[in-house]
Amino acid sequence: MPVVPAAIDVAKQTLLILTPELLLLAIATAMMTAGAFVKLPRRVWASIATGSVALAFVLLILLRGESTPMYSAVALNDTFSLVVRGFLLFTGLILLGLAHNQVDESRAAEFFGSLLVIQAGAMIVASANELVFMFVGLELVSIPTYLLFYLCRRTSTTTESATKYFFLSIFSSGLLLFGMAYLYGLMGITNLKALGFLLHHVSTGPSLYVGLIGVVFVLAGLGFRVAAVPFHFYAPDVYQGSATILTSLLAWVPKAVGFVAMIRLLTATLSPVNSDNPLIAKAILVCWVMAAISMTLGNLVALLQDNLKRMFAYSGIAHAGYLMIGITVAFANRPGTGRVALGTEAVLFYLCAYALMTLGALGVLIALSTPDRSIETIDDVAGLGKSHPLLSASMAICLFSLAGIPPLAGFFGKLLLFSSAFSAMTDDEAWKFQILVVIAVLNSAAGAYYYLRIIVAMYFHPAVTPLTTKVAWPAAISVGTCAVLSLVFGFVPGPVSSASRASAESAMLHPVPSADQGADSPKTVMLPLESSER
Amino acid sequence: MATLLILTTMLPLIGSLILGFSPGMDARAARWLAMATALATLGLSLVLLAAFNVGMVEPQFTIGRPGAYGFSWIARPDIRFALGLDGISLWLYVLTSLLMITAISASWDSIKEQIPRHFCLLLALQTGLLGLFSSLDVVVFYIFFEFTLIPLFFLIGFYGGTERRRASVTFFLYTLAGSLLTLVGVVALVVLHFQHTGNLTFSIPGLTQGLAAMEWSPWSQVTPWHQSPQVLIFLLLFAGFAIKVPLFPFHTWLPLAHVEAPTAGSILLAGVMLKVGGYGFLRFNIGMTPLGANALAPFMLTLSVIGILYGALAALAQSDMKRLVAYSSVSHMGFIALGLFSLNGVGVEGAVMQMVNHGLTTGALFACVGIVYERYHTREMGEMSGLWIRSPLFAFFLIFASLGSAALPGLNGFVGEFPILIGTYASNPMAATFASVGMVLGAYYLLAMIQKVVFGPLKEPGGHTHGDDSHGHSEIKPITLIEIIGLTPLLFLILYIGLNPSPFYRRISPSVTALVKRVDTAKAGPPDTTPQQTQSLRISTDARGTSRD
Repeated sequence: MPVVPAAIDVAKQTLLILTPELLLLAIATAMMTAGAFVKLPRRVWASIATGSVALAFVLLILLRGESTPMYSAVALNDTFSLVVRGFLLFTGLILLGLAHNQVDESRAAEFFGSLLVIQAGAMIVASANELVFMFVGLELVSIPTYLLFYLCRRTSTTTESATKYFFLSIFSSGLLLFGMAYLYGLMGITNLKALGFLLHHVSTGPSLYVGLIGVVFVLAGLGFRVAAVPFHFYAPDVYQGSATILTSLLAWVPKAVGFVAMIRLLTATLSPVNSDNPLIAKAILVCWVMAAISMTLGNLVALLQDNLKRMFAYSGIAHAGYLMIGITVAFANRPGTGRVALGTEAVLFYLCAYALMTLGALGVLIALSTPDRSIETIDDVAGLGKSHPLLSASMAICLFSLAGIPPLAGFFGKLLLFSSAFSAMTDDEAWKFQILVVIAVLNSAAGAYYYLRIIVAMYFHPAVTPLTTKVAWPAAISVGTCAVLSLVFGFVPGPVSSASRASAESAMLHPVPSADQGADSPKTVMLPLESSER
Repeated sequence: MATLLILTTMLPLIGSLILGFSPGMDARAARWLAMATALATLGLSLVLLAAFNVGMVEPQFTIGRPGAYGFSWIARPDIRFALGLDGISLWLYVLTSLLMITAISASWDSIKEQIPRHFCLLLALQTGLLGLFSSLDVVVFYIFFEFTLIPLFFLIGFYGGTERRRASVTFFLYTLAGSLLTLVGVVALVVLHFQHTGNLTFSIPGLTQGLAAMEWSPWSQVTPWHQSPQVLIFLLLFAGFAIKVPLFPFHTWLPLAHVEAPTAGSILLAGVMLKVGGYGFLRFNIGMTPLGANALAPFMLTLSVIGILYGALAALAQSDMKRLVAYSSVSHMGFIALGLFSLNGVGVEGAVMQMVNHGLTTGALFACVGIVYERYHTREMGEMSGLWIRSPLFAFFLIFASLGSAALPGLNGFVGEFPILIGTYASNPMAATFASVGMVLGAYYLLAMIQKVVFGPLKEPGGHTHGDDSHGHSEIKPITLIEIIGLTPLLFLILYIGLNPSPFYRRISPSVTALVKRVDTAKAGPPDTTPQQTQSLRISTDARGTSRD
């Protein structure tokens, strides 16, 4: 009989590894409360927020050695959780740099407080090992986002986009909860690692229909967050209608959170199931269709856009499609084949590249905007190459990276995605993945056009109305970091790729609990099932 | 020597970075810095040429042992930064270094603003080209291959003619679309090789040998063409390289890009970039999917012949000199593809030789067109004649380059195109017959151009007024020293190769022979694979799949 760790010890340990998130939440609460009574200049609030994100980063590194029992804790501190949370904190710093002057002085406390809560929510999703806790994390990202819509500039268009986002987001949360309920129904437990372990060790495999409803509804709920077709339709209006800082927040955080949750909830949990199981085959089909349609629709419609934010919305849909290829592959991967985590690894690498290039490109728009002149259309950036050579060089690097031109980070992301899809399967099913790659490749070629249009406008067209904006230094640092890292990770992709491989492998881990590893033994597994296997 | 190769390849990039980070640099300093970098690169390339070991098949100037050339760049998967030269890439490498001198001299006076940036882009382009010819790793090759698009895109976009924006975007997207499909083909090759041998390698020589020895019956059997995986991968690889060459239906980007590009851009585009297509055909399509190449050879020969005739006829109809030279490239590159897909030693060797020859002649022709345009601001042949009287030296250059291009015996075009025709005749007499018509047409349009531009009574464009005209034509600049310096080595080589091609063929031959032999072995069918061997392979793959249980 395995020894069950005392619940109180597990809870203590869990709270310990969640210290960075707790710190962020505590500071956010304090800021929002104090904001009503104390009047501080905007830059002080921004500095407090930046400082606490940096502090959370330090805490995260200090706590890297701690771990929680896999089959009983609600949060994990495995490599996946560490790497993803660390990168989320890093992008949080970039976002804060871009956001530092994007809100009125009077609302600064609430604005930066909300950003911190979003940050904490996103990190909780990365560490969550429990259906309910995962949902809490996702909602911690969504709810402050609604608030942010009202804290930035308020016009009738922003109100419209806020309303749209609010209702659809609530609806998608409902879908997600419904799907999660079915995932719970598969085995009657909410612990994700235990769920994955049990699915592997039940001789009959998961129930097809219960599992399928779960997978489809979770994909629907998360598909909204990552803006994958057919849950994308809010994105163009919302991106265009809201302030550019919100656009870049929406373009990155929900997408990252959505894919991380997909990995934790679906692919990592279902990965031990044989890939010829009908449930997996159906899940692959659903993801295949979502990937193919998302990238095709995103790229084709983006070709027609003149509004940059709308273009980036469609480009975001297209990139969600590329990332869905990785998820499709991740469903096909399973332990024991030597290709445990190819798809997940590619998704993580691509997310990193995507964050840098999208935040960099949108960051240029933010850096150039002034309260009386917002950079919206492609004509607004005409002649940028002459007036702001460094900024436009950064933009060009980010755009070439988005288009997937070597030697930039975006190229290696695509290379990893394509090669993972090629090696996903060896048997007769392999052609499905090969076709998906060909579709993706044709899409990247078409997609290059609209990125190139921006570059052509910046460099080869004279300015329509010359830009004289002086760029604030925090925004310049953020944009510069994104561009430089896009370039550096193109030349030295090794560290990112090994970090994403290590985290992908740790996410796929479902070790057999044994008596002498008491800390790892699941209390819910004890009863009938343990004897059915081995 | 291995370090020298890396240094030579990276040297232009260093010059480019210096120029790129000092946009305010004095024009003279920028020009001389660029020229010094290019001359140093050429000097080092010549050292490599001298040190090249004739008769060796394996790539030379490499680091590490065969099978793991170069040093590790990305640990897992094992992508290695490996450079090396064999008989095929050696000449293209040296050609790139040489044409760079011509390109810089052609833009010496004609580029008047943002001079450091222009040379920065040119030198960056040179590193891309040198890198792709010398890389021994498919990923490194692909990175250099795609990287060349960026500097050329900006060169055309910044310094091109009136339609430059459209030209740069068309060029970029067209080549990108093709090369992405090539990437899929390359990934497919690597993954197939991994799945059937268990050896994950990205090395070009490693893949070429590994794929030839791969024991997977659908791969090595001569099946009907639509069933062979080699044919499918051949077509994927073909997409990118056919656009680069360009073969007939994929050539539409070329006239636009050439006409709009600045002279230096055209010289490198036609002189070197188009060879990338031929080089890719040889390395990837013929080297790695020999059965696909064999199955589709008739189709490829047909496209080449159509390209030869179509390009020649289109050139005949042009009144703009640059367009004429651009279409002549379509025709001549058709010859190169013809030689490559004759799939026999003579034809392929001729094609490799002709890649170098075409680089020299077309580089010289574009430089001549640049000289005319620089002085008269027009390239319309109808507006000028009798330039011999104005500048006999220029006329000599133009006639010489044209005759070389028209394959006059004794000049370089002949020693390339003649073996191509012989080789093609051996594999497909019909194609050779039609192609020789193209040769006649080639002489016709080039001589027609000479007749219009060089001979006849002196007539200079100037009916309409433009900037320089207020001074009258007596003020038209004579050929400058720097232009002579840019052209002389090309003309010397045009003559030298025509008279004594054997040093060139001696170095090309061993590598080409090895390649062609591989095609012949593949055609002869798989080597005796005993049933037992395939059996054990089957078991081992199964074992991998089910090891969990």
